[in-house]
Amino acid sequence: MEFDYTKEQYLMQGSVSRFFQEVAGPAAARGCYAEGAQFAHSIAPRLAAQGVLGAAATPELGGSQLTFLDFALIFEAAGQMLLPYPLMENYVATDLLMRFGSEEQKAWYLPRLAGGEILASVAWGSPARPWSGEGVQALLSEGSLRLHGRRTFIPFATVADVLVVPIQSKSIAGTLVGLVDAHQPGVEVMPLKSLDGSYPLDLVELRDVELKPEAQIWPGEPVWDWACQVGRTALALEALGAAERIFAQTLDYVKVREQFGYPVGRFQAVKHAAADDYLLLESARVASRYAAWCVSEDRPEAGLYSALAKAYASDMARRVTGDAIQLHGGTGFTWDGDAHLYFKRAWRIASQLGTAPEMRELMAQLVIDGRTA
Amino acid sequence: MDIAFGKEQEDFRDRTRQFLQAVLPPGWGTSRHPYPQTAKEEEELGMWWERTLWEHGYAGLSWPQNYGGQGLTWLEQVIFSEECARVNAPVGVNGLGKGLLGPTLLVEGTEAQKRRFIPPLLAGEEIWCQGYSEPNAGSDLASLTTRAERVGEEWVVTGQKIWTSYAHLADWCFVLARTDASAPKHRGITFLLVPMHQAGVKVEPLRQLTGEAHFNSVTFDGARTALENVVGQVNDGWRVANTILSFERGTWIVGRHAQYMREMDALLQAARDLPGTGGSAAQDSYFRQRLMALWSEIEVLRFHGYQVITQLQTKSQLGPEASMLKLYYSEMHKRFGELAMEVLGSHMPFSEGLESVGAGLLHRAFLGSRAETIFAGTSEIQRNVIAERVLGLPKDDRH
Repeated sequence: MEFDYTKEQYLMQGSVSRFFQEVAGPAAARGCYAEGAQFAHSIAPRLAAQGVLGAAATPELGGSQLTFLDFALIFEAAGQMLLPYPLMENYVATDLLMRFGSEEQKAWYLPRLAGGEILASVAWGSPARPWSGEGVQALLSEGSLRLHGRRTFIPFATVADVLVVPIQSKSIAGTLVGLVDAHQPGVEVMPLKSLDGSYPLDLVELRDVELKPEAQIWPGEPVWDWACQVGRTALALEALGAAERIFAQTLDYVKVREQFGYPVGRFQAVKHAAADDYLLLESARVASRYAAWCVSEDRPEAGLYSALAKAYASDMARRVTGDAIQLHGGTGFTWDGDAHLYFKRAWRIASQLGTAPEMRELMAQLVIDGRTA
Repeated sequence: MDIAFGKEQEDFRDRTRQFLQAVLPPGWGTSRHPYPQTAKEEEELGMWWERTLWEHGYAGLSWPQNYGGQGLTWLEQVIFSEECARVNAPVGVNGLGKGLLGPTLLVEGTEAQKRRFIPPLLAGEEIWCQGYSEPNAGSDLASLTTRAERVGEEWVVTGQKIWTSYAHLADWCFVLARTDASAPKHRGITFLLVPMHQAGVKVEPLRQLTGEAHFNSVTFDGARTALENVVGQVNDGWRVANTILSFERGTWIVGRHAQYMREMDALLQAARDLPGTGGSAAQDSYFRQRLMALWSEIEVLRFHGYQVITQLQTKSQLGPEASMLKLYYSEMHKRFGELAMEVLGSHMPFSEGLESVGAGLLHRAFLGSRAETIFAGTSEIQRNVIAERVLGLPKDDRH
């Protein structure tokens, strides 16, 4: 029984953390709020040089063949440092190609994803039913597939080069996942005004976009389900990282901020809020660790436990980051204070890839109704 | 990461399952062999269970063999608690002896004390109760006023203890008593072993809100015990009492997951059978949400258990994190009990008989859980401990 990451995994987190402190952190996050998604481009070469991009690929394809468990603590570090780059989407695109891609797809995309030459994002959302694979239809026309429809809540889409898109096709009866070139004619990216300016989400409209056979992955359903499980677990880990970082800052603050002649952390009202937050944090830590293990080991229950971790960690992070604002008092409400950056990130993460109620409904179908995953 | 026990431990789990199946009455927990209905039946069952564990070599699993233990590790202890919880095995009546006194003696006791007290404790021949809390010393335990004076070759104990579980069955009580009234409050306390069967000890039952009377008030009025029945040094009892608490708490919590999941399964079945707003309660989105939130929390307790096991393998001790686990499971179980009653809806008032659901199991969780956030340190005290000892927030003037 060894329910913990290995020493090597912690060491790697340590070095990546120090690196993230240089390229990211609250100042960089504010930079991204100001500059927009373009900011991600400015740090891509350094992320690539550090080896955090394309990490799931094999060494000959530019990666370091990291498993999800190897990478879990890096997602946590990304959350701690509010990384303004679609790291989770880069990981999903890479691992998706490694698992389901053709040799040609791997050879073309993976070295470029690992080198930071192309920026990948995933078209997570559907306008009608937010986290379903619906929204884009493929029509067969003169032997080629043409895409029509829209997907939304797509991180950094305005600067993306390739979009991973779930596609349904009535004309050929089936689902697929497409690797859509974002610069192709017919692809229109509409920036949305995101609350979490350090991780902008956008909308993409596809009008008669050609999808060549070399950009198709069939069948789409298992690939998309897998991507959602990985994405949810990564988001849970990022939520954990974001919450634990601002929680630590909050503890430092209440130890020195004095009122009534004492540090405010001496008062039980503050102590008990901190203790409750700590309990939630440590619980989200083990929940996301268990989900990371399920995903990394391809366990059949990965769908259930990634939903659990996503719901639990995002509920926790919303609460803990909100308490951070409260416990910082007036400075917690300022733009220059860090608490709001974490608070907005926590709420954005909670909204993505299924809210907590949606996750619990998914769990209920498995646990209460006895449906199989 | 490797979430599995070793082969040796899994073999032990198989043996334990076979043992439980062999000794528990056929149909245990079903209508063919219902759980005990009265306090007396329950106590008799608890006594029988202590003896049965001893006879089959399941008492003191992780304790040294030269005092009657089995010489295994706490891993087997954890697996055993899990398996017992899974089948709702009886609760023995010597939990305080096994959970608190025994481990304390193993660390702090003299060789003579270990040889005298541990074998009969494990055999269920001597039942122990705990004399800590007093009417005016609850969370602030160190302000206790029961005093012990040395008279010749004996200690003479005077004072009142309260919430003393199983005192009416106990042969011995481990008592915290003040032996130096002039010392600061934590420094003048001694850890004494006092025989219960004597004229100076009066036990009066206290009825709990469940209707049962597991606990008591114990009045010591000139009760006597031999001079050598001090554990540790005189006036060092506060430290002795705190020696093993966190370790024991950790191993004991791990088994709770199985108990709570069994209760959750009963609740899910009840939800499928009972009406909600339109369809069954299990189809009602309000209950689906809340059931899955609680189900998640119970699973998270399982993950915490893995974390505890992993830590104990390397650190061999849990620190104040034990407070976190205690706060976690007790508050969670209280919410579970409340949700269960909500799901029962109009059947809620009926814990037995016609119109009752779940054979009283859910009602026991509902009422019993109200004790869990109070005993062994209230939730408020646990939060103080976490804030000060784990998070490093400044202490206030309580101490």
